[in-house]
Amino acid sequence: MTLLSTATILGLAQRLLTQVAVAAVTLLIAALLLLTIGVSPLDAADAFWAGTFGSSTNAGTTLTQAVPLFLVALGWIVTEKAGRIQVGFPGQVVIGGCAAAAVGLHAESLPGPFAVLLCAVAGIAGGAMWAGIVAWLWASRGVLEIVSSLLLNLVAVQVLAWLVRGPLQGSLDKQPQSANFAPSTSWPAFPQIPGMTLSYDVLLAPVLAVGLVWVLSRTTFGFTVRASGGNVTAARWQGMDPVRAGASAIVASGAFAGLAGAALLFAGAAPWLSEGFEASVGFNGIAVALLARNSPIGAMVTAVVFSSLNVGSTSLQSLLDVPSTLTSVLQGAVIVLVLIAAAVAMRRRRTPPPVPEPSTLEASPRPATAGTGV
Amino acid sequence: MTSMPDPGAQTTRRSPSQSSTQPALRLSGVTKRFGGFIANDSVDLEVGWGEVHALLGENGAGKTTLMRIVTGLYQPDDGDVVVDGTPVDFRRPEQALRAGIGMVHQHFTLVPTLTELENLALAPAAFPVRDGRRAALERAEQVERESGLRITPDRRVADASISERQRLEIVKLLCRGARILIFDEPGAALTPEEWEELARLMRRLADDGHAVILISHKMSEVFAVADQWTVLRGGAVAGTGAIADTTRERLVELMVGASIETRRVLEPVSPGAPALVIRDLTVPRDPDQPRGPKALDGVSLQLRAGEILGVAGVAGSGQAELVDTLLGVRRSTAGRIELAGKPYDDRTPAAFYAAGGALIAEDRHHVGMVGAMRLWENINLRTLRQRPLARRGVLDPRAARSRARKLMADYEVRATSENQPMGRLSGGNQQKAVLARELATSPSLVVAVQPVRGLDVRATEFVYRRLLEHRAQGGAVLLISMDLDEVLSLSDRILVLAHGRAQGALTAAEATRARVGELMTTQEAS
Repeated sequence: MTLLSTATILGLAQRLLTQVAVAAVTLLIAALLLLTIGVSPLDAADAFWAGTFGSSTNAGTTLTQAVPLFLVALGWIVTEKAGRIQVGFPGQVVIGGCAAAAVGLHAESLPGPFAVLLCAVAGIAGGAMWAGIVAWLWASRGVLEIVSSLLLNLVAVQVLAWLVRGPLQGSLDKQPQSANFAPSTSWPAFPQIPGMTLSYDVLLAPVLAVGLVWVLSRTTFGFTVRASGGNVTAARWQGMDPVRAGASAIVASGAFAGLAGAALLFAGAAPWLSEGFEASVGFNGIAVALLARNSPIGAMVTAVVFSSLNVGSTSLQSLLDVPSTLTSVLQGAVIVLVLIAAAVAMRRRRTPPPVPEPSTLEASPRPATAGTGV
Repeated sequence: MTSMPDPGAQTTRRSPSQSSTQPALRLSGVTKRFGGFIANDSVDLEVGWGEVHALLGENGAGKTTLMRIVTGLYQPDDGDVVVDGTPVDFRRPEQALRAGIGMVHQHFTLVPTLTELENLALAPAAFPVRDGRRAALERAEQVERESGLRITPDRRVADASISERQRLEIVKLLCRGARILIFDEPGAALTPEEWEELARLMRRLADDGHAVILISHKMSEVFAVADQWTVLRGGAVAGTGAIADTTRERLVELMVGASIETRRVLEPVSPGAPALVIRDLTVPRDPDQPRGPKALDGVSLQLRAGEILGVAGVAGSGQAELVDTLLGVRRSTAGRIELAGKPYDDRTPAAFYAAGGALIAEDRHHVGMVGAMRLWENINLRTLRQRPLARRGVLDPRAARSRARKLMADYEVRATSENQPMGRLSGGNQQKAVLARELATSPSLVVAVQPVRGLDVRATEFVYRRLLEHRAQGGAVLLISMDLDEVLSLSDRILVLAHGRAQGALTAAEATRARVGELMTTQEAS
């Protein structure tokens, strides 16, 4: 078994190099932008570092904020492996969060660990249920999952708006938000970190990343999902059920997003349900996955990169008066650069394959006319 | 978006009949390397105007690479390409096309959702806003006058048959002024009749002064149309000469390096219990119109263990629907099927395999493999989901890899390792891997559909040998093929399908080319 052949190592090195290059170019763009608004890039780097990893308190915030992004990224990776594209993460995060909040507001009497677990499970169930609509529409009606999931995002936002004004409205000054969650329902934080900013839910990241890799590579379910994603017709003709695999993957991805919703509320800074708690985690999570090239392990790193951009921009704004929209520009730049790198890599891969064979290089469309093929 | 090339080019374009005494195409010392692999090793090739030149060789002999150099897809590392006396250095396919070189690919380069005329009008546009359809129609009419090739302008390509699509592809090249036409295995998808029509066309194109290069594995095709031949082996020229001065045996020997026995003798095997029984199977052509025209109309057949039943018939006689129905991908409206003596009426692919069935699908890429997954995963595509390779939903990759390595050795699958992505294997090795997957579980029934399509002589021989071994071990094979020679040489009995009806079953002794051909072309009774 030559799992680590030279080719593999070279490929890995090339991928790492690409990521480093993307980071370098992003930094360059950031420096240029800062110069144009008259801020010294060095000062900015100082402030950025201080805000993100300069103190253990801030590092805790950065890592904790990375968790929901990472969970959504896992959701994207599951559907990508199954060959499906669902983009309903914002909605699934919102509904998962609502479900978790609904449970959390009534779970204060339960002992801590149970309450936390119950809220997480409620989040998972909410996200899975919301994605289940997408899966059902696709499996039984053939509705494209990308369309239905996108539209359901809008519905979810309205559901949230109604909940925080209606059934779950609980703030004393009649603001559209819920009552504060009881401390017992929130994820406990590492006591060593001053300010208690590092929640225990960061432990979810390595566990779930390894778990997902294991499920995809070592179980029949993962195998079926990957085969269906790789060639849906072959999977069907080989006796698999690609529809079930795809629908399961969509539901699983919604479950991850729902858990992200619960994590945002119960391991975040603001222990109440309000409009806008989702804070673009749903779409940024997709970028996190793409930046990691759909690798669950890599997504742990890229999620931290994205969350540090978010956290760092706050300190840039407070210390140097740099507009926090700079973050959005940089996040956009990262996405564009990753796409460029991917396009370049694809072009390089396409030129010359070792042993050219006509049948493997060109697509072979099955004749559309019934019967002419045989 | 669509436009014909500059109309001025038509007037300056030299008509083939006025061609010079220079050869149409001359390659000298053409070498192409991919890393350490030499795909073409100092190849010399000369093709004259008005001749059909057969380019032969096994899979991986370098034919396709050479033609990709000629058509501008690859640039040679060394050597010269001279077209009609002018040295050329193509950087892009359009440049080769402008120089009059066109290729009819194995997999057509047509857009199925557009009409035939719209496909003709698709060309690198000089004026992006001009509608090229009128110009395309004029060119198509001109080509029809010159070559007799007629298209159906308003028909969608998706509705055209394979041979009609191929014809459109040829017209497309002629419309763009191609004078050197390269055909890459054009006979692979055609019925015997369609092939003969194409052969006549190739002769006619050559007689009109074009140069035709025919890439083929099949000796019968080569000897039917070609004037000259060149054999490539291992990337280098193994020999060249005139067809009139050579024999089939000589060419095959040059291709594979040794003589291969051509005719096989079937060991008599006493047939056992019925492996597959089909009674009065009726399948509609369009699944949404169960009462509409029928693809299969009351077909019955019986296949016993230790027997190969060949199903012959021209394309569209119901073979595809028969396979689809057996796998449960398509619904029948009437009829019963028994697999290994048990009723098989609740038909799904899973039930088919569970009942001891196996399928060597015709369209390997589409239904037979997952190109992005690794060889060991593809070779275990079904076994990996069952004991002993999977327990309670958890895979055992180590055992699966070692099973894959064993099968790779047994079935001579050549790959860098079992971890190589399936899509990176050559066509012949992919088919061997499929064969390993399907035959290794000792199925009671193997459905083999065009099992050697596009394979070279050696790989073909391997597939045939394995199917015959399976028969000798008491397995049953349903061989569905449009290659009459294949059906005749492998089958114990032959069932002829025409217009969705079983036109008759012949024993190997009764079956002659003429007899089977007659049944295949039986006119519809209505």
